[in-house]
Amino acid sequence: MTKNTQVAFFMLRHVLPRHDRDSLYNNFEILYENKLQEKSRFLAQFWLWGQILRSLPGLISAIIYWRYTMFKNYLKTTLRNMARNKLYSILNISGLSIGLVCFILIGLYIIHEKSYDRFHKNARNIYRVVKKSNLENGVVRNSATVPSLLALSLKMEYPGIVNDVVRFWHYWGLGFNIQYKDNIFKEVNFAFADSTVFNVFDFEFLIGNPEDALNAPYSVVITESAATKYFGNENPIGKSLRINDGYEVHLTGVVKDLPRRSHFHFDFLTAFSTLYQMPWRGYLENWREDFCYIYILLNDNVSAEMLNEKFPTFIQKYIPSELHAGNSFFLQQLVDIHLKSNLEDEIEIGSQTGYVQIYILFSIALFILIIAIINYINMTTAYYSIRVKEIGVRKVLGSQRIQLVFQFIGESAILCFIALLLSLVVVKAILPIFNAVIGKNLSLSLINPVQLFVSLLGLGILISFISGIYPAFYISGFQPIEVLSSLFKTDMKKGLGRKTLVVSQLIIASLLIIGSLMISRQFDYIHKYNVQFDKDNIIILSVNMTPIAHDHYDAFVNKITENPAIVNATGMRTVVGFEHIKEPFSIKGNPASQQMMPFYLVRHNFVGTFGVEVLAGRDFSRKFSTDEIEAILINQTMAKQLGWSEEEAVGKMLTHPGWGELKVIGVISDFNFESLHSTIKPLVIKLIWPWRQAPLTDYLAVRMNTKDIKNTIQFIGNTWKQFAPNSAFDYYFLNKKLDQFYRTEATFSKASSLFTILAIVLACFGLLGLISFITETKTKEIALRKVLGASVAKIIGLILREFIFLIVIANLIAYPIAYFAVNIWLQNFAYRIQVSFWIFALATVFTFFTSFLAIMFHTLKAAYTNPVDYLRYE
Amino acid sequence: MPELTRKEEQILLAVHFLQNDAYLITIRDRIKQMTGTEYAVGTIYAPLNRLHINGYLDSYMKETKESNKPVRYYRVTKQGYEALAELKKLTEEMWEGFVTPVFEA
Repeated sequence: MTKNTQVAFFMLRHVLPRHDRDSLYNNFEILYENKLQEKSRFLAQFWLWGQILRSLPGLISAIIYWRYTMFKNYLKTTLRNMARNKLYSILNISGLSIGLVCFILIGLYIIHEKSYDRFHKNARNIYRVVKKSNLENGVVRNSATVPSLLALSLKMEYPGIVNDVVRFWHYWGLGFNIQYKDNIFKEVNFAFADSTVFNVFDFEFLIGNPEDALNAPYSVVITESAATKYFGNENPIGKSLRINDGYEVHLTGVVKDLPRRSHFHFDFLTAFSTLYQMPWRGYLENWREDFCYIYILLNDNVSAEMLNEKFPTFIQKYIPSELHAGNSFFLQQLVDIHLKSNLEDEIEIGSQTGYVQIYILFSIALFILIIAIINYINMTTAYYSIRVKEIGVRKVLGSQRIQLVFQFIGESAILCFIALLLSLVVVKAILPIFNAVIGKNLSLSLINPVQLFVSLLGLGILISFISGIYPAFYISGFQPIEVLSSLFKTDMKKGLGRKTLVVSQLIIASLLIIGSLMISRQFDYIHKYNVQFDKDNIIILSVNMTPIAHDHYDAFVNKITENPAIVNATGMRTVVGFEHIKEPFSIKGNPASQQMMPFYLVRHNFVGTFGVEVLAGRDFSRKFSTDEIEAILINQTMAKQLGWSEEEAVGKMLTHPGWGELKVIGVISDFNFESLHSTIKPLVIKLIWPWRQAPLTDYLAVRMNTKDIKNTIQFIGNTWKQFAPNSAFDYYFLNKKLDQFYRTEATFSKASSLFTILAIVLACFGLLGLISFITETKTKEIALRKVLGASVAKIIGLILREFIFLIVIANLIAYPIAYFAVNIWLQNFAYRIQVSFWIFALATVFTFFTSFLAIMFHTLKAAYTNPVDYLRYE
Repeated sequence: MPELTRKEEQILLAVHFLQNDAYLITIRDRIKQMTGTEYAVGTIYAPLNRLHINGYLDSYMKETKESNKPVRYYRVTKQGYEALAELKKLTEEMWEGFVTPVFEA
C-alpha cells in the first residue's frame, strides 16, 4: 500500500460508525483491491478518495441514526425501570427537585443582592469616597460622609485619574416639607446634587436635558412618581415647589424612578449650587464637617488603588494640619455598597451584614444540594443492585464497561433533567410566596435567558455526572457470570456495603435535625431578647424645622396628652432602636477612664414614653431646673462597666470634655438599642439643653394606649395643623419601621429555617428510600420464614432489631459532631441558648421513627403477601 | 418504520435476490444493475443500517468467497418479507387498471 492509500484507510477507519466498523472497512478494502485490478494505481486511489468523500453524508447519517436508536433504547429502559419502581423514582426525583428548588431560590436571592447599582453603565468605575477616623482610645469611626471641599480638590489635583465627581447632601435624611399649591408632603428622599450627577450616574430623562438641568441654583429634577404625586396630570415643566416654607425651586427635568436595586432612591435632586446661598454655606467651605456624600467616576484605565495611594499626600497638601491626626480617606466600589458597606451615616440602610449572610445562605444551598445528591447516590446504588441481571445481560451481549457507565450516567441525566424541569415549575409557582415572605422582588428574569439556560444546563449536566458516576462504576464492575448465576449475592446482601450506606444516611439525618432545630431556636431566642423596650403603639413624628420642635413644643405635647388615648410623648434627637450618637465620657477625676459611649439626647418623659424602668434614683423631672443642664440617666450595663451597683451609681459624677460635669440621677433597665447580634452597650441619656432645643429636637415619640388608632392619629394630625400649619404631618409606627430595619435579619432567619426544614425532609427522604430498598431485598427471606412458620410479629421484630443497632451506632457518631458544630456556630452570638440534650434525643426519635415507618411498610407488605409470589422462581 | 422509502425497497429486494450472497458490495452492484445508478458505499450503507436496526434485515459476519476478509452479510427477516409483500400489494392496487394514454402527435 502506498502512503496515500494508507492515509485514506486511516481516515476511513476513524469516520466509520463504530458499531459496524470492521465490516465496512473490509468492504472498502475489497472494493479498492478490485479497482486496482481494473485500473492504474493512480486512478484507483483517485476513485478511493472520491468514494470516501461521497460516502461521508451517508456514514454520518448512519452514525446519527445509530446513536438515536441507542438513546431511544436507553430512554425506554430508564422509563420502564422508573415506572416499575415508583417509590424509588418519586423519592429520587422529588428529592433532587427540592434540592434544586432551594438552590435556585437561594441563587436568585444572591444574584439579586449582588446586582445592586449595576444598572449604571459606568458602575464598575464609580467609587464613593469615605472617611476613616481614629478617635481616642482606639475607637474607629468609618463614615460615609466626607468634607465637601474634597470633591473639587480631587478633580483638580488628579485629572488623569478622576473623570468626574458628584456631591450629594440629603440633610441627614431628616426630610423637607415640600409644597405645591395646597399640597404639603414631607420628603425624605430629597437631595442636593452637583450638575455632574448625570455624567456619573445614569438617570433616564423623560423631560429636560441632563446637560444643563442642574446648572442654575434653585433648579430641581424630580422622578416620575414625584411628578405625579404633586402635579397629577398637569405639565410639570416650569412649575415651582416651595421648600420648608422658605424658598422655591424650579423644575427643569423629570427622570424615570430609580430601580429598586439601587442603594439610594432620591426623588428630588436640587442643584448643589443652591446650598451656597443658604445658611449651610459655612459647612461647604471647611475640612472639618463630614458634610456630603462624594462619588467619583474614575477613568477607564485606572484602578482605585492608584487614588487610594495618593490620599496621604493629598491630605498633607490640602487639609489643615490640625485635622491630619487619625483621618484618612479611601474608596469604596459602588457595586459593593449595598452588601458590604456598614458605615456611619449611610444614605439608606443596606443589608448590613449582607455579605456574611450570603455566604451562609450559599453554604446552605450547597449543603441541601449535596444532601440531595448523596440521597440520590445512596438510593441509586441500592437500587442498581436489584438490576444486576439487566447489566449481566447487556455485558454478555457485548456492552463494554464504558458503555454501561455512560448508560447509567445517562439514566441519572434523564432523572436529573426531569427534576430540573420540575424544580423550575415549582420555583415559578412559589416565587410570589417566597417574595412575600422575604420582602424582595426576585424573578427568573434577573438573569438573561441565554445565561439562565446555559447555567441550568451546566447544573443539570454537573449533577448528572456527580450523582451518576459512582453508582455507574460500582454496578458496571460486576462480572456477568456472577451476576447471572442464581448464586449471586449483591453487596447489599453481603452486609458491609449496605450497612455503611444506611449508617451514613442516618448520620446525615441526625446531624441535620439537630443542626436545624438549634438554629431555629437560637433565632427565636435573639428575637425575643431584642425587644426590651415597649415598641408597640409608639408613633414617631418628624418635627425637625417645625414650630413644634421649639416654640410650641410644650403646648403641643400638653394638648395631645390631654387626650386619654395618648399616654406620653417625648422629643428626641435620634430615634431609639435605629441610631445613636457617641460621646466621650469619663469618671470625674479620672481622665484616663474616658470612653466613647452611646448617647441619646431627649426631652422630658422619655422613660414613660418608652416604657423603660428606673431601677434606682429617679427620672428627669421638671421640678429640678438643673436637670436640663447637668443631669444624666445611665443604663445598667454602664453602671456595671464603671464598677458601680445600681444604687451606688446614683449621685456619681461624670465628665464630658465639652459640657463639663454631669450628675447621674438614675439608672434605667437595659434595652437593646442596636443590632440583634451585639450585646447591650452602655448608654447615657441626657435632656436637650434649653437653648438648643430648636435645632436638636428632630423627632417626637408618642405612645398611645387605644384600639382606635386611626382616630387618635387623626386627632394628633389636627392638633399639628393648629400649631404648624405650614409643615407636613409625617409619622410612622416605630415597630413597623424597626421590623423593616431588621428585615434582612428577620428575612434571613425565616429563609434559613425554611431551608433547614427542607433539608430535614430531604434527609428523611433519603433514609426512607434506602431502607425501603433494603427491606425489599429481604422479601424472599421473609417469605421463606413465613413458610417455615414464623409469625408476622416475629419477622418484623427480627428485621427491626438489625436496624435499631445501626440507628444507635449512627446517632452515637452524629452526637459529638453535631455538638461541636453547633457550639462553634453559637460562638457568633452575644446572646445564645444552651445546647440542650432533648434536641439530640429528638433527632434519635425522628430517625428511628422514619426508619421504623419504612421497615414496617415493606415488611408488612411482604409478610401479608402469599409467599408463593416471592418464591416462585426458586 | 411504517412505510419503506424507495431506496429501502430497492435494498430489501436486492438482499432478497442475492440470496446468500448479500453484503454491502454485492448489494451496491445489484442496485446498479436494477436502477443504473452507482451509489457511494456510504449512501447505500445508511438505509441498509436503518433496515437492520429496525429489524427488516438480520445479519451475520462471514468471509467473502473472493477475499478472506470477514464482512457483514444480510438476510431478509420475516418482518422484512411482510413489509415487502405489503408494499407489493399496495403498489399493485395502486397501479391496477393503469394504461398509458396515447398522445396524438
